[in-house]
Amino acid sequence: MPTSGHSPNLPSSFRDPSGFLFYEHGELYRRIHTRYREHYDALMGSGLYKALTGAGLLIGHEECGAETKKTEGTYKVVKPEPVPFISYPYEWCFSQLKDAALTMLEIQKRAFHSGMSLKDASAYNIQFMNGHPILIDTLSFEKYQSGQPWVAYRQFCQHFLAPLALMSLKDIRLSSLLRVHLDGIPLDLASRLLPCRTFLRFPLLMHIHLHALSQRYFAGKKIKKTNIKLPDLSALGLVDSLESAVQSLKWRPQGTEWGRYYEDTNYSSPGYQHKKQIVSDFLDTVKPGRVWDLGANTGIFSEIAASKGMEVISFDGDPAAVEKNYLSHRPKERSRILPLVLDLTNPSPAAGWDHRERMSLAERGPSDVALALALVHHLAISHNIPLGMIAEYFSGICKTLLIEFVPKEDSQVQRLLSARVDVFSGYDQQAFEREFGAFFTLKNSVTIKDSHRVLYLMLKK
Amino acid sequence: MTKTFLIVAAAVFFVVHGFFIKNAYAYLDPGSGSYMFQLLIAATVSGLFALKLAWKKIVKFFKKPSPKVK
Repeated sequence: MPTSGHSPNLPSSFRDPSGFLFYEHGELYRRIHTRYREHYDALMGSGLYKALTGAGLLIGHEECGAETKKTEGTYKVVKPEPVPFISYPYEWCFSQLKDAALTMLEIQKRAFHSGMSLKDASAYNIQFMNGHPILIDTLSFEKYQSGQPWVAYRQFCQHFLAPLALMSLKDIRLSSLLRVHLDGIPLDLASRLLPCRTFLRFPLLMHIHLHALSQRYFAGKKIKKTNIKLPDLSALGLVDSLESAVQSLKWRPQGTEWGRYYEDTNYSSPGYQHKKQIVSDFLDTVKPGRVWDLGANTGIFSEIAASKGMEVISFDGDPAAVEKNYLSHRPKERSRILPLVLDLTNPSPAAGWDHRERMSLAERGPSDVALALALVHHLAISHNIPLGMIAEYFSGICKTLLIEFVPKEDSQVQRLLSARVDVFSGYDQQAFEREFGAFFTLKNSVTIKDSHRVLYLMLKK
Repeated sequence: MTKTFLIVAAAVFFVVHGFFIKNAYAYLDPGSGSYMFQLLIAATVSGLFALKLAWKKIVKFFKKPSPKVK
């Protein structure tokens, strides 16, 4: 995980004046500044911290004693529970973003009843642990100033409501706007992109369209803050209204390229079972802690790794496949699979201030094992990526590679080549072994029954 | 549809101008637009929430209590 230049501070936490995260001896700590003292004490003393951590809504932490160095202005140093993998809202499927939004609103409701409020509602403060969304920023709370509007209202609309509305009512791929707009989708942009019929949906009319108009109207104008105090009912009503707006947004995965992929392969039933057995055997050989399943589709092979107690990040470029994957594991109390939307030919870059606020995919690795099953032909043939470059990239994101080579004789490759000229004369098993052999040591290989496909186990050199 | 929107928008701006913009000297950003907007919609969201709570109470009153397990 990158730190801020020569400082051990985490570059993603520099904006918060209440404290920051830092590494010491490889462990992550949070420094709480004296200026945040009354709010921290209120969080801990009101019973809110206990209630939220007990409900799995807020990450737990331990207060550190004298063993940690306290600099001037430090009130406390705490050690938060580690998050196994940091993911970003632009990598989440629709239901992940929706669940994260509802989690944020539930926290705000509970905070309000304890005399506190969220001072920010950034989607980046939510992470998925054990398959469920959880707030990881302990310093997001402040004592509620009676009668004051919710300061995080704009942020909530930009980070959650606008992208969810666009994904649900316009196009699921618009979630990629979050990758460009790191502080959420500007409401005027969301308002322009949403279909006209959303003007007839009262919550969206209010929280997006009129909200955007209000922002535009007041931008550049000077106002005097009024002495008007909002009733408590209004604060609760706002959260309730946002909750209804989020709940009303739905998206059903359909019509994308991989929706029926597993029902449309060229494996025979014994061949498919054989493939599962080989993957299982290879994983037993390596015994990894963390697995990245690249091109996981709905996560059939991720489940094999998860069933062995491994923590799996299950990547796929198709939002429908990721949605199905997430929904199938959501009912479990503890899921070891985190499905994420990722186009491997254009993986998440380093982003934000100084390219350091949000990590690239590679910075979040390497994984112990990467699964690349039925993937290499898509990269090499559909995307024209030379085998050597694929091998080099994989060697940067994993320590061990479990990869399937799909030869030209395979019907799936023939399908890819059916509408184009075959310019891939160098795409064969010999070239595959040579190119990957430059970056990996080939440990084992098994041909899958009733097919021409071969599974390889390789260790990074 | 567009007509409805224009009416609502016009009403919002009337309220904004008439009641809140009195003396202006602080700098503003889009966050201030959101701040003012919450003041504008306060009555609406409070009213809807109060109605929702009242409706829940009514439903609860008429709902038959589930039979107790002996």
